[in-house]
Amino acid sequence: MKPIPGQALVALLLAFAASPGAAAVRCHVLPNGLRVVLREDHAFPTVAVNLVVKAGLRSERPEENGISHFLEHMIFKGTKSRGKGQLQLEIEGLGGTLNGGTGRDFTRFYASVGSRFLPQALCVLYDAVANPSLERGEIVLERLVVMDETRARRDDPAASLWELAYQEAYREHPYRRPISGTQQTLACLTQEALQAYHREHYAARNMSLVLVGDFDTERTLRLVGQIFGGLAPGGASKERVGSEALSGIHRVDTVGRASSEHLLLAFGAPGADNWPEVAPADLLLTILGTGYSSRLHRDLQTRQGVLRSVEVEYLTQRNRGLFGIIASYPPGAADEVMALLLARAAELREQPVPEAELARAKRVLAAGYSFANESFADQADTLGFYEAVGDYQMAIQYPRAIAAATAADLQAVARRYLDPQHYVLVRLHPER
Amino acid sequence: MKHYLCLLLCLTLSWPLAAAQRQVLPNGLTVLVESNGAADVVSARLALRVSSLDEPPELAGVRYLTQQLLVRGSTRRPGDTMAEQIDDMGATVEVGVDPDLVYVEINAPGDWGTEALATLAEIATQPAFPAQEFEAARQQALAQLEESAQEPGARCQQLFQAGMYGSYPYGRSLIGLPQGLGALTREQVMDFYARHYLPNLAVLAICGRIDPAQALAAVQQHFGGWRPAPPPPTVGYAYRPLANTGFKLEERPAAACYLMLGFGAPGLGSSDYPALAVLAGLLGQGMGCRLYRNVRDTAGIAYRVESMYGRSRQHNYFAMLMVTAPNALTRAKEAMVGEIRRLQSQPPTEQELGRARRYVIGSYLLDHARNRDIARYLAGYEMLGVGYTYDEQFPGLVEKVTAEDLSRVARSYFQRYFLGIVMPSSEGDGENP
Repeated sequence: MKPIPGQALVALLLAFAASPGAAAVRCHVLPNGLRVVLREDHAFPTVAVNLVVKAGLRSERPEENGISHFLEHMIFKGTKSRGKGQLQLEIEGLGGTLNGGTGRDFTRFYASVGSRFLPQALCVLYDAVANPSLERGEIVLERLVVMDETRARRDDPAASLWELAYQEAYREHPYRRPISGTQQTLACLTQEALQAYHREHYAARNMSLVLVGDFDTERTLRLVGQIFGGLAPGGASKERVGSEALSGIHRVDTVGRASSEHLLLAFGAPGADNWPEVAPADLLLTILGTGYSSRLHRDLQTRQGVLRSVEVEYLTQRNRGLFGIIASYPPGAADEVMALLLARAAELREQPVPEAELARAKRVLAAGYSFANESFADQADTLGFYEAVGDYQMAIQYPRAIAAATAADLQAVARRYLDPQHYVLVRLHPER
Repeated sequence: MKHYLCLLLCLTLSWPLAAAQRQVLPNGLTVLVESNGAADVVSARLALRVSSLDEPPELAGVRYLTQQLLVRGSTRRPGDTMAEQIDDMGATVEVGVDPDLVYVEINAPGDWGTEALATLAEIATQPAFPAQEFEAARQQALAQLEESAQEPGARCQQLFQAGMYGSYPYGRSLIGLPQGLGALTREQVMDFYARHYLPNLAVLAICGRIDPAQALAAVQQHFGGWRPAPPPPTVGYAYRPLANTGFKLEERPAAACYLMLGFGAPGLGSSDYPALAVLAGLLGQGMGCRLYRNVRDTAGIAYRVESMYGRSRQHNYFAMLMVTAPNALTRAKEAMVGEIRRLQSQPPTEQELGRARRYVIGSYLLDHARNRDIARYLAGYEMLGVGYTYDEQFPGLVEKVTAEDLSRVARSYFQRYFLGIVMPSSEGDGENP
């Protein structure tokens, strides 16, 4: 599923109709192809806006690796009519917030403002993505900032482990490359390359605009049409790459900044392009390591000499991704930890999950989803996320998909992905 | 009705949040209930006035260990059964330690609101401290302490706090000290719990889709039997303000360079608190702040730049944090000091002040979008002595801050600073700030 900040929560309910009287999610396509997804809710006097561009690692050619992320940075450096820093000043001057982010499948720009400032926020957001100035001098400066960002990420052991796992897990697929690019590819990013990439991907047919909060749907649709109607439609978005299965066993050892030995055991995992497998995979993850009564959480309590910490993670992406377990342990315990984790995976393949445990996992997962969608910004984030990897409808269907999953569905997904012949093992040894 | 929101946003909409209701139980427990039907969630936070000043040096870490053990089983059932019941509700529980307080938080679906309050009472008021769990919890705490000492950003903050506060408890890691954690016994933890975890030192804030009368009835039922006692005497630490500007540089395995530079600052409740909050917004919050524009956008020195101003009751700090390339260390430090001097010598323009005020108020409002956040604010303000109504007053106080206020607080508080630096070990030669 999409990442949930902190520990997850709450009951089986429809997260996107949480507040009484709140409207259902609506989608409208402008003549230029821009998808506008809206959920009107007057529970709080603010609006969250999330503009998603289907331009991420997956849309990059090998030689332009890092360009999506770099362009996201450059979008904030001003437009043809707004000088450097003015975009931020305008939104923050309204008491709002503005930010951006880049992932493997998409780039997004998001803002939250008081309801009455929605028109100004939409104008600023439109100008930012439609008319970035992309000045040469700014490109040189921003390259330094991106290099600093990359450097700081190397100080995060989990981020280093995941980057290596993705690199090993794929032969061809763009997911194998780092999101922020490499020193070499960054050095080659020119103004012309950025302009061309912008023209190709920042087109209406390749974007979704999500709005959640205190507005009138009909009036807002007219407003969005006036502001974003001028966006070039662009060509139909091309599906350049398909899923690639993880094949064979890959072992990597690395040295990095950490206080103890860490390992990441990563199996293949379904992408949104195989939607029926997603909820069962999330339930497997929950049974294994989310919630207080999960299997690995119990191991953590009872196997202190072997495990120091354990975390599980599976991010749904457009194409096949990874299902990972990160553990830390005392020196010399790596083999025992691996044996334990592989045994836990084997249990899920070989034995159906008991009904009571499945029912509990469904409550934990559904509650976590609902709780992660408590605020308008959370909901705009989730709807935009699913637009980028598939369709916003997935966000609405997801609780039902959790409710419908059976023990047999889980076992079938476990057999397909938690395969002892196909995984990546990355070990991180502390630098001394 | 939260009038400040209407004031700020010129709304004519009906606002779903009723003002919080406050009630004090006969045992001294302060209860705040705010009904909010916006999402099917109930959040409850029990905050206790168990401060780092309550930990003598030889017991440093006792708060953290006590908190961790609260969820390892109660006098009614073992930890496993409790965990299953929490998961069965679809609830989550978080225990935590702040400089001035400790807390237990539960979040549950609305339908489970009263059961969640019962579980919260069981966790906080009937812990069993099972002997077989004690050593495991201690080892986990020691491992977490070691891990945080290795994480360069966290280590930089530790260096800063240690330099800023010396032996005063705010200078320690919130997890504790290795020698304290290593020597603690189960009996000491149980004794600490018995003396400090008292209803008359606690605030329970409940926010979400729950009827206030029903919530209060559940609180009386489950927390009513919690016995009060006279508060224990404090340890009596002496706070000594920073006498001289200083720095501490540590080389360790890291890829980036981390700097944290800060000053002593007044605590929550001071009349200068809103001005310093605006100053933090002007200097290092959001993408329109000075550090972002001047250090990141114009000079390209650092990816991460920010300022932070705490919510301690007293002996607070105001700091700036930067993550940069090792060869930019000196320029980063000079940029921070330069921005402080500029604040002292010239007032900001009206436009800049306006952005900072509105950014601080706007992000404060947006930080109230989840029930758990509202419960955190209400419990925190009530616990720290300014009263839960400060939550509504704060935006109005920010609105009144003037450019002269900013210059004045910058001059009066930003005198001696301490700078903590974590530097990659292989590239540390030749630079000395």
